[in-house]
Amino acid sequence: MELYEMKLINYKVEHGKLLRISVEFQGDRITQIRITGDFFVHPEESLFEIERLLIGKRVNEIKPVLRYFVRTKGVQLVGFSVEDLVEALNLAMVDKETQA
Amino acid sequence: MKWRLLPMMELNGAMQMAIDEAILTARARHKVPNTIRFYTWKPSCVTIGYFQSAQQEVDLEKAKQAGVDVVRRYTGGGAVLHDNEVTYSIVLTESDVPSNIIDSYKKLCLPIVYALRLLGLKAEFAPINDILVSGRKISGNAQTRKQGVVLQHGTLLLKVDIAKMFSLLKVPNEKLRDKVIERASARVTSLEQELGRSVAVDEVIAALEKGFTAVLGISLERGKLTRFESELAKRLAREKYATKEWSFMR
Repeated sequence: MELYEMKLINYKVEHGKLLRISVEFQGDRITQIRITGDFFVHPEESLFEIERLLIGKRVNEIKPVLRYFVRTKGVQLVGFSVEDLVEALNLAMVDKETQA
Repeated sequence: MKWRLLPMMELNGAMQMAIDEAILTARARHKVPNTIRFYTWKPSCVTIGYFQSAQQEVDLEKAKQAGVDVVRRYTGGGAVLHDNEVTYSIVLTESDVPSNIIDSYKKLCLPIVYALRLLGLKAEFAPINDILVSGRKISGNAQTRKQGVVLQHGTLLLKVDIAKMFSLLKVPNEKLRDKVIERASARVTSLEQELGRSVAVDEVIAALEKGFTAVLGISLERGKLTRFESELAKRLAREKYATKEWSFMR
């Protein structure tokens, strides 16, 4: 049986806010994720939808999914962008983090 | 345009957050006009942003020992120790602010910038959501939008105690704690520090009232919470803001 480990990553967005992501991967697929931090998302509930959207996805396929979600739902991400979130998850895959 | 100005309230964190939400709900139901209020915190309180984790951000044991409440806000943003400060909240219809969030922060922060200038300080709005004096943060702000209504609340520091702040707040990487504290000391300021004298809450509130009326082009009519608002606030404080489910939601 394979054991999966929850990774914690702090990703400080340049001129932006801090993303703190707890994520579990199975291979390169996300199996669990929780995004916390001092950013803003409007409407707020969209962040929970984003977390749900990411489950089961490969990191290399999430950018268009998130961009489409943000655009069609009129979501405003303040203090980070879709690209920052993808970059943070890429770093989580290789176990690196940026310092706040 | 006439807005309502509520009396200064000194209450605990759960109740302050509950009142802000109750006003937002009352505004959404067209029961009250756009509203401004000023408040202070008793006991001192750490609020965390809507998306933050209390365990990640706050030393809960030390907060308990120090008699400091910990409450999750309805708004995003970072963890704040509310100690020696004046807090304001503005509730207004969404159509009264730009749809872009940062533009709306600017619109609602400019009255505070104006108030600081009245107090003799050279202040400026610093996107995303801060106000600086001499390049150092003196005010942080956070907003949410629900049912066509904007709630923005923010702080204006009277006095700052970085050591106390960081005895209660955790830092993302404990190995860098000293560096983070050093950086925060250089980046945060207060009215007392900038003016070289202690400043009374009333003096600050008077300047803020002038700031809001002058910059937003409104008149303020003194009013009080409606029965709907105070009953809803008491219920929200009890059933939401003071509960473990809410505090430890993330």
